[in-house]
Amino acid sequence: MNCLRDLFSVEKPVIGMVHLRPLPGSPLYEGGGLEPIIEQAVKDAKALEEGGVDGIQIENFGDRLFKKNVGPETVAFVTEIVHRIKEEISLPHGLCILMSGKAGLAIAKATGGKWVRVPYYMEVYASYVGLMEGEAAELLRFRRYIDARDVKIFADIHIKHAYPLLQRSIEDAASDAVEMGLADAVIVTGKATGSPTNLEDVKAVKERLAKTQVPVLVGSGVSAENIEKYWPYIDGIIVGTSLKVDGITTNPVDVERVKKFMSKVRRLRGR
Amino acid sequence: MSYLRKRARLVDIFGVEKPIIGMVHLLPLPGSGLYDGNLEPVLDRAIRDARALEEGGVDAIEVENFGDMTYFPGKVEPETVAAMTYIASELSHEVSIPIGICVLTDPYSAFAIAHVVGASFIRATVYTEAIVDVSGIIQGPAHRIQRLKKLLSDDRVKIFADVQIKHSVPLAPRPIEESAKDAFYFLADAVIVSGRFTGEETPVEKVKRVKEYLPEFPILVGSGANPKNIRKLLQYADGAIVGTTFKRDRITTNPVDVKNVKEFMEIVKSIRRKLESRG
Repeated sequence: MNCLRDLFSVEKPVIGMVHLRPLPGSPLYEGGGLEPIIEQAVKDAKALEEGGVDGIQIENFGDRLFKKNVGPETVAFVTEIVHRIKEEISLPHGLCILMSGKAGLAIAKATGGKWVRVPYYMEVYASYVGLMEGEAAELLRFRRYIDARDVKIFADIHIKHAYPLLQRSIEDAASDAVEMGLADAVIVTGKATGSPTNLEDVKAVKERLAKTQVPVLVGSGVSAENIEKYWPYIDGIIVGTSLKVDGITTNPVDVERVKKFMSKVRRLRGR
Repeated sequence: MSYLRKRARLVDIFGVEKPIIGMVHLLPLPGSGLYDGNLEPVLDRAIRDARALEEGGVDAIEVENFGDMTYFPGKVEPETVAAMTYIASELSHEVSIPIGICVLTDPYSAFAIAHVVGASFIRATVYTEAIVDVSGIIQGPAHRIQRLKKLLSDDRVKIFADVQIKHSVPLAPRPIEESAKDAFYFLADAVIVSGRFTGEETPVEKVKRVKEYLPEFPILVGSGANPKNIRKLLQYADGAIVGTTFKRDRITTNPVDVKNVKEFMEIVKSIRRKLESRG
């Protein structure tokens, strides 16, 4: 079934990224405490709301190089930041914690988040941080255990920046993530943050999952210029880089770019 | 020992001599054995208790995951950190007195939460030494907390360290005053002395021994303070953390009863007045 219909009241929702600046203690942390980070996150979230996106996803994007498991300080930081964002905007929100779906789910539960993006959900990947093993079985049980069954799992399939050890088609991987892994939605990405998602991948996954009605989101490199080609094959969009000032991922959200993107989306919805 | 950081005085943190810290015992949080599936009632109750404590005149509140029994030994999971951050953050907007954090049993996570929500102190139920409690052996996290403090450049959050805490025995038995000396030497800002169980009186004799051994070091009473014994306890202790006595019918799991808080705080205020008149 299509969980996006329950989470959002629009066709093919657009989820805008709130990429957090480096958190205290992480390698690129700039000092000055949490307040400047919160300030930027709130500004980005407000710009996304003003520009008309349907939801936001908050991610500890600045914390590279990411740890396979995050510590309690990251959980505390992100919970507080989400809490502050939610005081300012009313859009639904989801979490992505690099690299822990469990931490993301815990924060979603505490802050009323509607979904968690899990980059390494099924299978084993050789990634730039080392070997990453999917956490699906643990995460599904954890979700029951903390009574968070209303938090949906958005699972990446063949996630960017990593290679699956199980060499097979992306649609086979997607089918397993849904049938065995019980993912509520799947995300298809390109090779890196901001790099375009391969249209053939999206088509193949959508076709394979058509009968399950599990939604397919496109998760990297979407812009006002290329959204149209993906449109017939997707159920939703997660967009970050192309909504930033000058299209640079680490820059703040540019509300004009958001508006432009959303007006394109509205035209496509109106067809 | 000039490189040892100068410790804060309690009066600088709380603005009064002999501060009283009132407990906000949280209802069971997500994932714990007694959790009932909904976080909002936990927050509502915490806000109600925090407001009652402030109205009753305490000098600070301490937020603790009391309902999560039995507790993770040494390291809690992210669901506890997230839920406590969310609740403590809300509480910090509800009251204007200082807030402290106690995570059972993970003072490292408590420090992270305290840093984030603007809290003034943590209660480290284990700090130096290894203890044996109902969950097994728990090792003191002082070394990890001091490094986190440095990493976060946090000089605000003070560390109140239990020594030989209730519901436990030290793995290596020795006189409590020696445990207290180590806690102080390894950079705690105050020590907490308690009885054997939650709500059980802290023996005056124990407090006295620690105070005489370490006269310059702040000591807080950590269990069983009540209107009958608080005068005696505060002869030696520099303040108290109070929970059970403030609750309706003096039952730990009940909500805070503002009448009990006011009655207790009247006595504390008279003790303070006496101290002042003595100069």
